[in-house]
Amino acid sequence: MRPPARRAAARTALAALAAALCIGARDVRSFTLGQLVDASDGAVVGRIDRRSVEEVDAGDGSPIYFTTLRIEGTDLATGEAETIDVMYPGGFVDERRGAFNASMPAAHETRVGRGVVVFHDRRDDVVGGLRGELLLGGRASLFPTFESRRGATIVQGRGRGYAVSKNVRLTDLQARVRELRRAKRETR
Amino acid sequence: MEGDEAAEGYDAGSSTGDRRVGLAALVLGVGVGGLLARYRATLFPTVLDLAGTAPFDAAKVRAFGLILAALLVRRGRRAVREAPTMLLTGVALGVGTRCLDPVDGSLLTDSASPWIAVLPWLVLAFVGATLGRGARSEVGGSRFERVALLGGLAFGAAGVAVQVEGIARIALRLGLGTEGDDAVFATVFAALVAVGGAAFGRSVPRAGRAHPLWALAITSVASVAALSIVAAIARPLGFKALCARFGADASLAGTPGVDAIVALTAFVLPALAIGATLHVARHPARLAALLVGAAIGPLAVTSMLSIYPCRDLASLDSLGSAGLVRQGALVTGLALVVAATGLGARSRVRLGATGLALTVVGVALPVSRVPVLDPWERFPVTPRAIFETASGQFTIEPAGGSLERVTLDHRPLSPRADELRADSMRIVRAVAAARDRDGRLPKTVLVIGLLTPERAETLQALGVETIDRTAGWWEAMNVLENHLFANRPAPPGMSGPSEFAIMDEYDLVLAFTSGASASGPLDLLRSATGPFDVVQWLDPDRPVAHVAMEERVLLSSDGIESFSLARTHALDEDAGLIELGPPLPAPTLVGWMSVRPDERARRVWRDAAARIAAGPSAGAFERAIALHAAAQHVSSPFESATERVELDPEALALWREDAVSRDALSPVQREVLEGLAHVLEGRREVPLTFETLEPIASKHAPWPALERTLAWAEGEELEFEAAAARLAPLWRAEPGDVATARAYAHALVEAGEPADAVDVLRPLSDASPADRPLRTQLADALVAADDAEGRRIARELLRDDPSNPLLFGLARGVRGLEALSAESGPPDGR
Repeated sequence: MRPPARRAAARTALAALAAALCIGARDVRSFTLGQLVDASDGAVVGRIDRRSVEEVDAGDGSPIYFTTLRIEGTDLATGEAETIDVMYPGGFVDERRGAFNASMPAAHETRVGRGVVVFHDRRDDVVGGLRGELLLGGRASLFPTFESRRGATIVQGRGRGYAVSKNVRLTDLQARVRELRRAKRETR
Repeated sequence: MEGDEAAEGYDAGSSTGDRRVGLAALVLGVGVGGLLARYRATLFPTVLDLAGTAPFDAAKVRAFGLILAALLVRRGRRAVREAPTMLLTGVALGVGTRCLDPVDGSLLTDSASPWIAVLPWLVLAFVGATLGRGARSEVGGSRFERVALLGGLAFGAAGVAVQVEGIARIALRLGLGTEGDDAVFATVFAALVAVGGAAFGRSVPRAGRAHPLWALAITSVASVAALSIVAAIARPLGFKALCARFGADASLAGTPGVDAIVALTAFVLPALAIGATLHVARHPARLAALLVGAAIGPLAVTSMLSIYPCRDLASLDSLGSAGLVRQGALVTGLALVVAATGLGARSRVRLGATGLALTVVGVALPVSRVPVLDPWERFPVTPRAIFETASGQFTIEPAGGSLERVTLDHRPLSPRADELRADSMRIVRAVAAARDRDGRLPKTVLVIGLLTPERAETLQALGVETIDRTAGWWEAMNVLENHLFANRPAPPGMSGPSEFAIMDEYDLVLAFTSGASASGPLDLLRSATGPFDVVQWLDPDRPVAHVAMEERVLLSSDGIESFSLARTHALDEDAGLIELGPPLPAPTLVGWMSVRPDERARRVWRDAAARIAAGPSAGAFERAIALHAAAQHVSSPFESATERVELDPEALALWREDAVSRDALSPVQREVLEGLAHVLEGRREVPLTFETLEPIASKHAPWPALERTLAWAEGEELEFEAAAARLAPLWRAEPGDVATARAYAHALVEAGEPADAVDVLRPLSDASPADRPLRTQLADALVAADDAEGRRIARELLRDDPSNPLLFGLARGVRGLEALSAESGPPDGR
């Protein structure tokens, strides 16, 4: 949510392209819920505890920026406590250095304290030696949550074409994900 | 040049003279430069100048400044003769001081009209001229030769001035059309002139009578070359390549660095040549002749670029500013031929031949128009029409849907589609504020600016019977209105400013944002007298927080995304004006230009809101506005409009507390709170929606807009029965309100009452069978109610939209089908 870097604009664009190629084509599209469960290593529901941005060398000297969210919560399927750092391309280190990315979630969806469900995938070399849990497809695998006045946790769907298209109760989503996980294990 | 034509009656030997003369020349130059840089605004403005000065009036002011300069250099004879380098350096310094002036005026901006503001520079120049005064010397030769020489110089200079004006007009469009751009371009130009004088003029130690004429010829040729340069950099790729060569970011066009690069490139050839010309002219009479010629040139430009009496776009075929370069060469060539008659035989032949050659160039040079289309944009909008007048370059651009937006030198004269509502709100606010003591709305309005069909409809809907209009660029108004109104008749009453000298007949003078490179005179509204009310809406990217305004302004908003301020005159106490706090310090022109262009509007509003919050009667509402404005910053272009609006929790709490504490809300307060509801819904902030809006909706019930947002939030909680219960009384009170009916029907379907939803939607759909979203919703409700008619309607709709998965599913009795292929991603392509 800061002005784009000026002189590094062209280099950043190249770096973004390189990152897109490095991350792999399947990470810049969206998924059905089944595909998302298949493609991900896991899913976490919790609150964003910290948000940070780091600058990475794309390998050719040009900078590329990644935002990392620390989420404290529980595994969506098992309910076990889990704290995880997930990252996605885009973000600003300071007012001048950084880049916006079309796939990154909106800033208000990733503010500290916000409830979210995220689906993540372990990568050993995202770009320039960067490793960690990647948010699959950027905003396509992050779904904000909130607590209703009756105390239920609601997961906000993103609309037509997304893995969670309509709002659902967290308990319903958990049940569906468990079912899909089971099916995935049986298929293997 | 023969020896007999050199150095008659003046000392051309030294260009520095003694220290005293050098200092006098420097002081004279600074004064003249400061004077010329500030003689840009009209001297005795009227209300009609609120949206910018008429070009001929502006040219007269500049000509007046040049004539004054001519008189001053005539007085400072010795300084001109002996220290021309210092003189030109001083001029550059004087022009450069303009960049350090506060925005919207000069040193005396708050206390004096423009002509008094130039007084210090006039005094300085007079002191310099007096100090540099020396013995009178005559230009040598017979009376005829003197007249021929001075006349040739004057008209040659007029031709060159026309050429430079043509280049400058194109180059300035590579900035953002503000007075800051104007100041930077003028400074670079003056600096190049000084360098040209020092570098080339000094190499001619004993300038003869013919030297300035030869220099003028070279300047004219250099201007033709400069046209091809500026035409190349006016193309998007050329502009970006130029910026890249200097390591600059093309998106920072309109900032001092990029402006300086453009000015340097565009002016380098003619300005260096002009410097050499002024240096070798050296004699005060010759220099004065050149300055007089430079005054005549811009006056002629207004008629050269006139499109009157054209009435439609098809008949406009002017070359615009590029044509000026050719016409200027013609004038200069003819002037040289005339001047050659006053020279010796050999020079006469040579210069006459050169003049004739230039004349031929002026007639035969192939020149085409040089349109400038936001070259800093990644994908410049291709206009539907583009033409030039003396006021500047007009474009008519597609602006969303069937709407077209008009710009003047890139500055908008009419709104885009997404700005239409805000524009309409401004008109409504202005007309309501001008209500007379008996509560009657104004019937006769003078619009200063562009009357679009949408603006005319809004004014007529408010009961305005007479809509006259004018502007400094009135000459193009006929063409623009004929195009915009197309098949509809435009209201009568459009004319040039002079015909509105008596304005007593108007109930309201309404000035829209100007599109002018210079702002309206600051103290104009304060001094305006008359029975009419004046409302002047201010440009969103021009600083206002420093202006000593009338301490009360009119505020209009389009939700919380767009606010507008208007200066007013003579409105009633109960017109809903906002009192301002003390003015903030004024930024300098160069300081303001250093702000990123995409950050300027946000900065303007942030400072203005802070001043509103500091007003003597500011309350929680005004403080919340200031907090909200301060919270805004650059957002991702990939976010939606509502996602890009930042919400400050403290501002939201203040708005809520303020609204709950009042028994009634003003139109602006209601507009802001409805805008807040819109943003909360757009950002899907469910708990914040209940926390902020529920108490307000309860206090000021019934408030349909807020209730609809609360019902949406209940839907987000999957509490559709509660949403339906909330909307039911609103729908019963106004069943024809489409927004309420659609929200109610949606809640009913999700709550498992689709038959009731059909009853809500069917009358509306029958009344508007072409409303596809409404008809799709009806089909969905019918399918949910297991009614075969739903499938039939869906099949009908599918014929015009065969790839729509929702309709495809409904036609087969399946609701909510999201994709025709399981592999399809989301519709936004992410």
